[in-house]
Amino acid sequence: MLGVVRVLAALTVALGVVAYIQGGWSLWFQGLANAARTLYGAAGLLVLAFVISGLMEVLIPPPAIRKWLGGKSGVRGIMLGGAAGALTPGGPYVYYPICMNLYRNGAGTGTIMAYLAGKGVWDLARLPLEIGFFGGRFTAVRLAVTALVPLAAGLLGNYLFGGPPGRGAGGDTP
Amino acid sequence: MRQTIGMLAVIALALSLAARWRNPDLATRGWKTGLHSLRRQLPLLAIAFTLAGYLEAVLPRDFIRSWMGAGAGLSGILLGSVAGGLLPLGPYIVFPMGAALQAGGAGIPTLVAFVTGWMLWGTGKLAFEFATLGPAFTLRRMVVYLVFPPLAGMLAYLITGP
Repeated sequence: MLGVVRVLAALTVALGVVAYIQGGWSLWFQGLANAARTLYGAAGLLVLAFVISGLMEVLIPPPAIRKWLGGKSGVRGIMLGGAAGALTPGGPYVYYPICMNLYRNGAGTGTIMAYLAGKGVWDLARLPLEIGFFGGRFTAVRLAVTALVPLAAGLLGNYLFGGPPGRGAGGDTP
Repeated sequence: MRQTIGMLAVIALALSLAARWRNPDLATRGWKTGLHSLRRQLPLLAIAFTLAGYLEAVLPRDFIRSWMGAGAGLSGILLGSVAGGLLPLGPYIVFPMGAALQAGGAGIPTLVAFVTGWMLWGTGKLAFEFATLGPAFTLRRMVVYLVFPPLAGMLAYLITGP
């Protein structure tokens, strides 16, 4: 986290210097004004998005998802995997341990692929943030064109790398 | 934006009531978890918004329009997919950056590819995946996910037009 902060801070300083070289102090202040405008518009949204994410975290704890999906494979597993991904709040430190557990407990390759794709494109807790930053029209188009991705990823995953549930990449688990 | 905030407030209220109904302390814990997470991310958010503000000021609009505008076609979609996929960052940073590109004239198909590329190829989760599922799974997932971001951009192009 600290590493990311430092890299981003360095990038920001570099862009500030570029702004100054390109347009003097007026463009430098323009960059800050842009940031303040976006932050002012998104502040309430951010607070609520974090609160919703926190509430979902306590309402849908990881063990519940593990119990729901454990041992599921085939098309049913893929559909449930996508839906479970959409409902899972939090970052990779939350959902990858869930995946590992599911895989060890017999969930199919396609189920895990669909779960990760569902978390990627259907993430319910992240949706309000997307609407806030990009607008409703963009989000509707983005959702429409990626609606079938979890299903397609799951089917393709099973077709290319399938086999009995729990076999395959699970064997590579350290 | 106001509509979105209103909608979010309703969702937060509904979730709070559901949590309270299940266990009186659960709603408080959910709020605390969320606000604690927000406080932890504040430095990152402040930098991310500043970065996005400078990006919007510095990136020439003509450049964004010609490379990422709706008229950029397939090359814009591929560029968007790769740019999004390479970002090892969270949504609170990637979305303001995407919004800066949108303000600079990037088209919906390119932005859809950018966002989908980040969602599906995002390099930020690779370390977690290596550690939990192993590199062979990561390789397989990349093969399976490879086509989706550019495909999403092309479908968005068909829907929204040039």
